[in-house]
Amino acid sequence: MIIKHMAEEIYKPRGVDPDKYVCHRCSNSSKRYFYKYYSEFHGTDVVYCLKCVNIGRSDSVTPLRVVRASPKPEPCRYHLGFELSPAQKSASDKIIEALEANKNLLLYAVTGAGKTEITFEAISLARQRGLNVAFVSPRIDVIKEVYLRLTDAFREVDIELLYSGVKVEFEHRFTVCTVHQLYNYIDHFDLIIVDETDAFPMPADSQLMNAVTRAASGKSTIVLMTATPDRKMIDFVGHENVVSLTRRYHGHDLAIPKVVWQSVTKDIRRQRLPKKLERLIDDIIRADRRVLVFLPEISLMEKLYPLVAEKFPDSDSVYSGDEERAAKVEDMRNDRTKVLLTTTILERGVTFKGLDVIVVNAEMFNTDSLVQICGRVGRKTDDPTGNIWLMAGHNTGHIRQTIRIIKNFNAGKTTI
Amino acid sequence: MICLYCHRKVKEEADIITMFKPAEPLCRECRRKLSVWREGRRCGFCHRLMEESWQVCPDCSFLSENYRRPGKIMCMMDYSGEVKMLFHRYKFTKDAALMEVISMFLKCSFGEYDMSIPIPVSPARMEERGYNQTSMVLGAAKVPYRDVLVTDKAGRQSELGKSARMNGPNPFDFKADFDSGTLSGKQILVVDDIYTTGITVHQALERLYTENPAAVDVLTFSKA
Repeated sequence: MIIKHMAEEIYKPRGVDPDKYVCHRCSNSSKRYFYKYYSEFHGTDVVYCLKCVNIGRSDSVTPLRVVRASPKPEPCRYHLGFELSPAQKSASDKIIEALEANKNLLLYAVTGAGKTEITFEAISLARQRGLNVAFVSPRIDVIKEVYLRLTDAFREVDIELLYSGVKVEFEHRFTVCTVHQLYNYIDHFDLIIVDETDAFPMPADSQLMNAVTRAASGKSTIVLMTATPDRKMIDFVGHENVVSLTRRYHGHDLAIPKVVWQSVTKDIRRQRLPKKLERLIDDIIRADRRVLVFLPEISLMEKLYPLVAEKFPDSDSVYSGDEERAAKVEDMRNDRTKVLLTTTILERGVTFKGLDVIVVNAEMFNTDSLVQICGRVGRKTDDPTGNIWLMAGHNTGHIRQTIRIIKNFNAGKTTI
Repeated sequence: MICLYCHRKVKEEADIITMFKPAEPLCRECRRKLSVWREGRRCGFCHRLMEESWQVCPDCSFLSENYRRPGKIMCMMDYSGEVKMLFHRYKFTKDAALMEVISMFLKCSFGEYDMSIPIPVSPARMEERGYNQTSMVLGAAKVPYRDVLVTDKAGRQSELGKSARMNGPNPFDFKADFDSGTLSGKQILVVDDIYTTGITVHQALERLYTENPAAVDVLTFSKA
């Protein structure tokens, strides 16, 4: 079933139970995330859910309506420009086995393993049988990137990219969307692939995982993909259903981060560009490479950026709310920008050639983020490695764990 | 307490000032984002951003030729970037809670006026949205207001050309139960949510001026 505003069939007489404070669409039951106001128009109080208001308001005065979609098989051919490596092929077979057995699976794969391509065979098979497929991620940037890769491979297939607020008629058979959009599906998808399962806010919001399971049909397969699985993900699929890929598709080792013990706080307060940072950036530019400088907070970025821009004119800065975000990333790709300051927004889903990475205040990042950030480097076959510098005022468990995970991957071991 | 804009928990450090102030459902970061005004020279009357070559504001000179103008126009937010998003969510995804957020940006001496009159919404809009976005904000700010106008304009204003709107009939009328004479000699404040070209508000003013108020000013939550 798909929850839809103007549909005929009523699923629940109202979206929100105003006495118990429960949202029937997203299952939110935390009173803090409801808003109540008196509506003159309705002549009564209205309670609505703040958790899912972005995908259309669920409230106490409007019924939730649904449409049902009938299965429809299609040939669903795809083509890849390359052949899967033996490790990729074996992971792909595991997903197909899971699909046949209606089991869930965790694909624990190093950054740059070619995860997306590994799912193609299972997707194709599922669609040929008329099963509904969803490819989801908590991050909209990841979703857009995945959508491009899917449409490039599945050229004759209709793939639907869902955005909030788009009012187009969809078929809901092969859907690409954020996890939040799954609130609109009940018992519908037979194969759900969750990319970057560890990305914010998935781990912190158990409701999102509930959305995935509710959107899944009775006989379904959920594939979780991540480079840093946590206990909950492993428990969700079961230990025996974890498939790991410790090598990148090009076969080279991951670059191991180098730690630079240097706090930048004092320099930035005195409006000076930290010397070590300047030297690192200078070396990178001299080597004709480019660099992403990761910062834990926008406020820090705003202070540091003018200092960097003064010394290095080919620099720019980007954050989540930046309206020119796409253009700035494009400038970096086209080599117009050499130094790009960024928040964690670019920790995933981006690939640049000849890239090095610097993390400022690395002690403030968690392991999931650091592993992803390190994974930005050396993603291309013709540029399979690079430099990663973590600038930290002091050591943390997260930094140690990051280095351990990466060394383990290179040794062919997983870290669970 | 959560921030009604980003839905994150509001961290309020307890100090001598916050202790005696009621906590606000808007975090500091969101307040900063929503307080941004685009740089540049602005029209002294309607606050429109002026292009370099302009001597006078084209909107204001057009309106002055065709309408009687208000005493002044007060404007609280710059309708661009994050503020645009705020109004989009408030008006089109029906996130009514944002009335509280907008009400926090109202810096206006309502007490100087005898009456605050919100611009009405059409019955079709009311059916769709369930509220008048302007009066809801006034309500949230605890400002008493009087609904004296009704409107039948259904289409999106932006879809109509300037002259089509100018030459058509005035879309505003007095409510059926309006007593003629209540506005006469009064200080009136007309309140609207977004001021773009100003035609809408001036059409409402045209109606109100027929009742001989002493003065009419305009308060708009944001200026496009």
